[in-house]
Amino acid sequence: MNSREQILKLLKQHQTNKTPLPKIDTTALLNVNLVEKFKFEFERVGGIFIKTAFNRIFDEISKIITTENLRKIYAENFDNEINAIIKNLQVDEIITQPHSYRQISIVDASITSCDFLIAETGTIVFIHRDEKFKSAVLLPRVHIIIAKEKQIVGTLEEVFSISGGNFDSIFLITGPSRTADIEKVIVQGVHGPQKVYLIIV
Amino acid sequence: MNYTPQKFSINAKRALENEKLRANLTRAIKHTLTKRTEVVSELSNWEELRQLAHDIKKHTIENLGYYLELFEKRAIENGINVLWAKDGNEAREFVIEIAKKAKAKLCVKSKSMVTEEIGLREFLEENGIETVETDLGEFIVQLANEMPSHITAPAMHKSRDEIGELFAEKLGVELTTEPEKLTAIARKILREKFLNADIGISGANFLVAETGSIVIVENEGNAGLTTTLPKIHIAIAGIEKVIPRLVDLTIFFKILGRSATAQRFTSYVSIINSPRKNKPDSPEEIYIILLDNGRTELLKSEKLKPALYCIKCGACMLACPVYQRVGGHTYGSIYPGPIGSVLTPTMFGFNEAKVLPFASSLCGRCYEICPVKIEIHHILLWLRHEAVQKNLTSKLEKIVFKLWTISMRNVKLYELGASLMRFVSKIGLQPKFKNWTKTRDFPQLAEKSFREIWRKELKNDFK
Amino acid sequence: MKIGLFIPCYIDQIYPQVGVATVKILKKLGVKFDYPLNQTCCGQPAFNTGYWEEAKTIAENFKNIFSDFDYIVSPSGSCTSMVKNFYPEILQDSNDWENKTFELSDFLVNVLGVDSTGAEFPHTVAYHDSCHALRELGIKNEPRLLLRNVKKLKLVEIENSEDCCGFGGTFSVKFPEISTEMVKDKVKSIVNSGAEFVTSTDSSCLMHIFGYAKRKNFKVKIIHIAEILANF
Repeated sequence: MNSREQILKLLKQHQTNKTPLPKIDTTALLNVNLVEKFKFEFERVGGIFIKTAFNRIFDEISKIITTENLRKIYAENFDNEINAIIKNLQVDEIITQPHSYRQISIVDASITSCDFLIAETGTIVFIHRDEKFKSAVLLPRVHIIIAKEKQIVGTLEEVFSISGGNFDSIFLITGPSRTADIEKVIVQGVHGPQKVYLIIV
Repeated sequence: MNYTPQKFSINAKRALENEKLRANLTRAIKHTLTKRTEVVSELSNWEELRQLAHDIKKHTIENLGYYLELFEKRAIENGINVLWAKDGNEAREFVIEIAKKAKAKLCVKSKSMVTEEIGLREFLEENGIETVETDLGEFIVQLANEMPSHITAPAMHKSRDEIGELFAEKLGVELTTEPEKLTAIARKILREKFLNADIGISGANFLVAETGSIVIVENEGNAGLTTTLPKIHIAIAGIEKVIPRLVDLTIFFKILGRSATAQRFTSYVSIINSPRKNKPDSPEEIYIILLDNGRTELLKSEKLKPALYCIKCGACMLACPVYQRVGGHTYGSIYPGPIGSVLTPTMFGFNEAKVLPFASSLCGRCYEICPVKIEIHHILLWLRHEAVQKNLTSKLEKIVFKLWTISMRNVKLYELGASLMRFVSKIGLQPKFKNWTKTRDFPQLAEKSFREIWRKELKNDFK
Repeated sequence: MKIGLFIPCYIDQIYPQVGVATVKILKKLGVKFDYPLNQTCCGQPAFNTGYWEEAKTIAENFKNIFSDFDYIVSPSGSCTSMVKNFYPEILQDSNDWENKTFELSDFLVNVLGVDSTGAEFPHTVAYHDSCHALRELGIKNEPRLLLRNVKKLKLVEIENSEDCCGFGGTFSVKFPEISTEMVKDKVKSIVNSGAEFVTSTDSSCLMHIFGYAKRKNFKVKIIHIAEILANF
C-alpha cells in the first residue's frame, strides 16, 4: 500500500461527519460609498490613490515619473487610447513586448491594468488567465495601475462569485511590499514594489 | 546551537538572564499585541468569525479524507501533480527527485513551517543544491544558522544591531543597522537568486478542495516571486491545510492577518490553480506534496484532533506569558509556545518533549487569542495526563501524589496530616520547598483551620 | 434549595478567615446552607499535574459528599472550575456539575441577584483577575460590581490585570524561575497602581503574589474578596 492509500485509509476510518459545514452569509458592504471606502482602505495600507479624468491620465503618470525619477518603464498592452498615452510618456525606454521577465526586472516601474478593486480591504485583484506577465506587478520598484471606477466591488466574496474557479491564478495586492522582520519597523519594498499608485478613471 | 526540548528548563534560565534577548522579545511582542488588539476590536463580529473558522476546520478535519481526495481530483484536472508523503523522508525524496530531473542548481524558498519541519533546506544543500530562504526573517536566521524563534516572525529575537553585524560578517557588506538599508541589501542579493532559480519551493496556508487551489498569504512579495519566476514550483503542505470552499478563504483572511501580524489584510495573496504552459512567466510544472508526518496520529485522538485546526498564526505564542519571557528557541522545536507544546511531543516524540506540556501556567491566554478557538490549555492538561500514563514523570512525584490521594480521600487522614504539619512547623522542622522558597515566602498554616472554627464557633449559629 | 459550601483544602488550612467571611456573607443574606465536614479537596493539584486517576479518586469522594446539593458554592475560582469544568470529564456521572457549581461572587450576583453586601472598606483596592475565574468561568464583572458597591472602597485597575500571576499550581515549583518572573511583573503593576490592598477571587494567586512581595519587601497587602465583602 502506498502512502496515499495508507493516509486515506486511516482518514476514512476516522471520518465522523458530526459537524456540518457552516453556511457563510454574504456580507455585502451596505450603505457604503465604495469609492470612498476603497480609497480609505487603500491609503491606509500605504497605497497612493489618484482619481482623475481620462484626459488627465498622461499628466498624472508624468507627475509620477518625475517624483519617482522613473527612467525605464514596462507597460502592459491596454486599449489603443491608453497605449497612445503611454507611448508619449517622457522616459528613456518603454518596454511593451518583453521577451522575458528579466527585462521587467530591470525597469523602474510597471504600468498594468487589474481585474477588480475590493473596497472592504483596499485590495487590487489580478486574475490570470491570459498572456500577461504575472511578475510585472512584483518586480519593479514602482507599480502603477490604471483602473476604472466600475471595477470596484465590495468584498472578496463578490470577486469569487464572479470569477468562479476558472482562472490560472489570482493575485491579491493590498498595498506595497512590506516587512516588519527587523524590530517590527515597517519597511516597504522588500521584494515587491515600494510604491503602488492607483489611477482611477 | 543545540536547542532541544529536553533542555527547556536550562534554556529557559539562560534566556531569562539574557537581557538583550528579553528586550528584543518584549519590544516585538508588545508592538504586535497592541496593534492586534486595535485591528481585532474594530470588527464587531470577531467572536462569530472565530466560531465560523473553528466550525469550518472542525468539519474539514472530520471529513479530511473526502476533502483531500476532492482537492487531489481538482488539482490534477488543473494540471498540478499531487504527491503524498507519509513522512519527511518521503517528502524530501520527492523534492530531490524533481530537482535532479530538472538538473536544478538553485532553489528559492518562501516561508514555510512544514519545510522547516522536515529539514528540507538542509537536505537540499547536502545534496549540492543551493537553497535560499527569501523571506527576510528566514533569510536572517539562515545566515545566522539558527532556528526561527517564532512561526510568523522568525527573527523576532534579534535586534537591528545584531542583524547589522550579521550582514556585515556573512555578506561582506558595510555595517549598517538601519532596517531600510538592511532590507535593501537583502532585496538586492535575493533578487539575483530569484532571477536565476530553477525551482521555487513554497508552503501553503490553505488548499481549496472545490477548486484545487494552492493559497499562500504573505507580505514581502517573495512568495509571489517564488511561485511565479522559476519554471518549477513545488508546494509542500500538511494534510490539515485543506478547506472546502473558495469562499471559506474570506473568513480565514480576516482572522489570519490580524492574528499573525496584526494586519487587516496581508499585502499579498496568491491563489494558484494551474501551471501555465508557454506563457511569459509562471511555472510550467507545479507539484503539491501532501505531507502526513504525524498528523494522522493527532487525528486518531479525539483530544488531540483540534490541534489540526491550527492555521499557524503564532498568536498563542505572543500571548503566552511563558513564551513572552523565554522566547521561541527555548522550546527547542520549530513549533514553540503553547501550540508547539502540543505539536512537538505528539508529532516528534513524547519522551524527548515530555517537559513541554508542563511548561505552562494553564492561564488560558492561548485559547483566548486563538483565532480558530483551539482549547490549547486543555489539550496541555490532557498531554500531562498522557505523560503520567506513559510513565514519563518522576518516581518521587508519583509517590507524592499517591500519598496525597490517600490523605485527601479520607477526612480523618486529612485532618491528621494537617495536625502533623502544624506540629512539625511549631518545632521548626517544616520542609523547605526550595523551588518555591528560593524567591518567595511560603505561608504558615493557620493556627486553627476553618473546619475547627466551624465546629467550635460557627456551626451552632446554623442549627 | 440545598446549598453546600465548599471550602477548598488550602483555604481551610492556610486562609480560614476566607471561609469565615464567606459564612458571614451568606448568613447576612439569609442563605441557608450546609458545610459538610467530611470534605477535603477537589483534586485539582493531581488533575493539573496529569494524575487523573488520583484526581478521580478525590472527585469520587467529593461526589459522595456534594451530590445531593442543588448548589455548590466556593470562595475559589480555581477549585470551582475544577468541579464545574472537569468533573463531567473525569467522573462521567449524572451530576450536573456544570450548572450547579458556583464561585462565590458569581453566586451572589448571578444566582442571588445581589449587588452589594452592605460592607464598608475604607481603602484603595486593586482587583486581580485570576486566570481560572476569568477565563475558565467567565467571571470579570461580578467581583468588580460587588467591590464598587462596598462603602468607602476605592477600586483601582492594575495594568495587565488579566495577566497570569505565575502561580499555576505545580508550574510554580517545576519552573520556579519563569514563575518568579511572572509574579515579579504582577507585583510591579500592583505597586504601580497605588493600591493598599490587592484582592481576588482566588487565595492561591494572592498567596503567590504575597510570597514574592514579602520576600522583596514590597508593601503589598492581600485580602480575599470575601473578606472585604464580609466587612460589615
